[in-house]
Amino acid sequence: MKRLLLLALLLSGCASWTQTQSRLSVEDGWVRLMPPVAPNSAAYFTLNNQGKTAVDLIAVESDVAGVLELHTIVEEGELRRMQQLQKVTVPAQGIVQFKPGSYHVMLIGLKKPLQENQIVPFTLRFASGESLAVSLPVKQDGEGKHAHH
Amino acid sequence: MRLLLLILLCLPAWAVAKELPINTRLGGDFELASTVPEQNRLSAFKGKVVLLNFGFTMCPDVCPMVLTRMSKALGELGKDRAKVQPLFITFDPERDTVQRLTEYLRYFGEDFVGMTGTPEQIAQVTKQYGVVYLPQKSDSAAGTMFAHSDYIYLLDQQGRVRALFSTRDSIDDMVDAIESLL
Ligand SMILES: [Cu+2]
Repeated sequence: MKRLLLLALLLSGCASWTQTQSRLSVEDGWVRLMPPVAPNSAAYFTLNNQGKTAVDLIAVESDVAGVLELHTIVEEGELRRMQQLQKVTVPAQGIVQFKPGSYHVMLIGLKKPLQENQIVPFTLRFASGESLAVSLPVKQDGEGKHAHH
Repeated sequence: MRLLLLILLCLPAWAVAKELPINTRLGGDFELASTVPEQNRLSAFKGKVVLLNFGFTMCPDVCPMVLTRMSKALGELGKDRAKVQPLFITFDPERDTVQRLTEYLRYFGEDFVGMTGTPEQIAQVTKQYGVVYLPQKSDSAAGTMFAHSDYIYLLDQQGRVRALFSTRDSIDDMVDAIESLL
């Protein structure tokens, strides 16, 4: 009985993760609020693959910026270098975390400044042909404790 | 040898004794173009603790993350915030003008001061502080980005370097180190 309840809880949790019935889902996503003068921003989220095979995220689309690219940050000693990626592989029944200082979707050439709490629609495209529509809120900081300004 | 240096640099501030050591290898005064014209050199902040960071405004990820961390640490200080001066120096002077820095930094806090200068001036000040920045050629639509170090430098009321914070240091540890100087 306990187990059934747990299962039900887990299932209801899963259902709220995503708008699609897909094996792919996104959670904890946000887009970085930037000063209006800054032309670029970044989107972050946890990409979850419940499937039995790995998937490759190959592109992210959105109308808010001229170009969107998959990037990561590579550490080389004291240096941090941003590197463009052609794909990001999410292992079978695994996750990849897009987060500051790591994987991110770079929004290059924002068409107009993002507003705090604005909801930005994205389409994630996978090598398998699958796609996933997600909407992410614009936040100053997605990592807890709010900055003061 | 280089590894040892790296390990030493990465030691979180709190790992050292309560009294923060004075870093004699890094630091020194400088004069640059400033978003606050009368505060155009480090010595203008004498008597205040300074939180110093280097970056560029086209940077979408690492630089705003570090500036947000600075902003958060300052936000934890309460009344003592007025005793601490946040300072940002660009290593992308071609694109980061005083005007651009003014608009950019306002977002992180009204008290943030920004500085820029000639490429030679920037090369000099970054050398003083051991900042590394390398322009990157890539196919990315983002254009020129920099590979760079991203420490926050904690300077005491005399402008001496007392601690370096990496993104691995917690906000609380930064706040403790700042408060130890107040
Ligand atoms: Cu990027």
